[in-house]
Amino acid sequence: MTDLDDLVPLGTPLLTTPGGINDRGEITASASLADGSTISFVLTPIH
Amino acid sequence: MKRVNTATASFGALAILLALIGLGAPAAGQQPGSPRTGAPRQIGMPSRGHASASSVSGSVDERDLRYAVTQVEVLPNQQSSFFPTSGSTINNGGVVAGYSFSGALGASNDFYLTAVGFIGEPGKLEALPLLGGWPGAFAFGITNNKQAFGVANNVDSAGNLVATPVVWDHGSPINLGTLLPNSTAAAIGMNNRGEVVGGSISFDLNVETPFVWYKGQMKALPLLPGAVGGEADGINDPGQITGFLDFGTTPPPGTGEFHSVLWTPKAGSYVVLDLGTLGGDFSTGQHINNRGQVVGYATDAQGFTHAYLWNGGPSKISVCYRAEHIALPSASTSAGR
Repeated sequence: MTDLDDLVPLGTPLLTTPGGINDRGEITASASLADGSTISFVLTPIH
Repeated sequence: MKRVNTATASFGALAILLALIGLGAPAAGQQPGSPRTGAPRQIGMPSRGHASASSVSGSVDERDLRYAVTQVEVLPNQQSSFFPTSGSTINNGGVVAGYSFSGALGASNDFYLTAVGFIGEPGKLEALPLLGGWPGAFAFGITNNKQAFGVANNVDSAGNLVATPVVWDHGSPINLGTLLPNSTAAAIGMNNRGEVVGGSISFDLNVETPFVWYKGQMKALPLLPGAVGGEADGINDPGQITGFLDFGTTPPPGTGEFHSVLWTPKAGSYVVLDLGTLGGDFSTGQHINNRGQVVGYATDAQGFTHAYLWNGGPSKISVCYRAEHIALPSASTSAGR
């Protein structure tokens, strides 16, 4: 098991919750910020 | 979780129901907004001195994977976008579903009443239309047929926050309704055949009942003897459903109150299989794939939460994957989740 945060580019906010993964390996995830707001991302595998 | 005991407090019932789908705070040990370092961080070692479960074998080395990251935009007049942890927020076509909101995640009624669901690809998100008379909505997931599901949020005449399950069929919202009047409910899972599952909490009966909805008909799922309620959280394309049953104050001997279960369709109804617990009070199936494998989470006798895999067959659940142990805060512990 590997932290998803280690597989994304530096500078990406700390991903705190995954939203899902599809059959292509694409992942949705969100980062929670200190003020209660969130930022969300789609992670696409690099082959 | 003891949702049945909190149903009379409407805000609490809905908030707890929806917490299942990822409105919660970051996991223990994580600091919101804290900067990442470049050093690889392997997780999986017990963080609180408890023995770890065995690690998975024969898997791909995830450290060889890398991802490009695309930030998802925020809908107009909102401040944040969020993907709930339904596990279904991206379909095989790369179309995502989630919601945008203002303020802090889950912090107030305004959060529920002003949120707007979305679907689309990054850079091309579209707001999902609201149900008439329901000022807020969350999209929890999307199928490969681009049917999105979630809830619409409102406040009832007594000032209680309530929700109704919704399917957006190619953009058009359908109110699935609730099993009984004076209830709050959520669509938590949906398969590619258009079957929807979730839970419906009756404020009058003070109980949550698992349901399945298909083509306009909502049906209560059967319970096992001794169970007083439950919730359906995931459904695969063959129609198998996973979730939990609540055995109230008289669970089967030697077990806790909430048990993971599997509903398998048979002759117009369902066969219910008790998947068991990990020795604690709470256990639930979350997702089920088309092979019938269930993933979920459960507490052990010490109150630590474990992710689990149930791989079919007659056995009960067991911890098969190495996972970080997360100590539940006291408030969550009392709620069982």
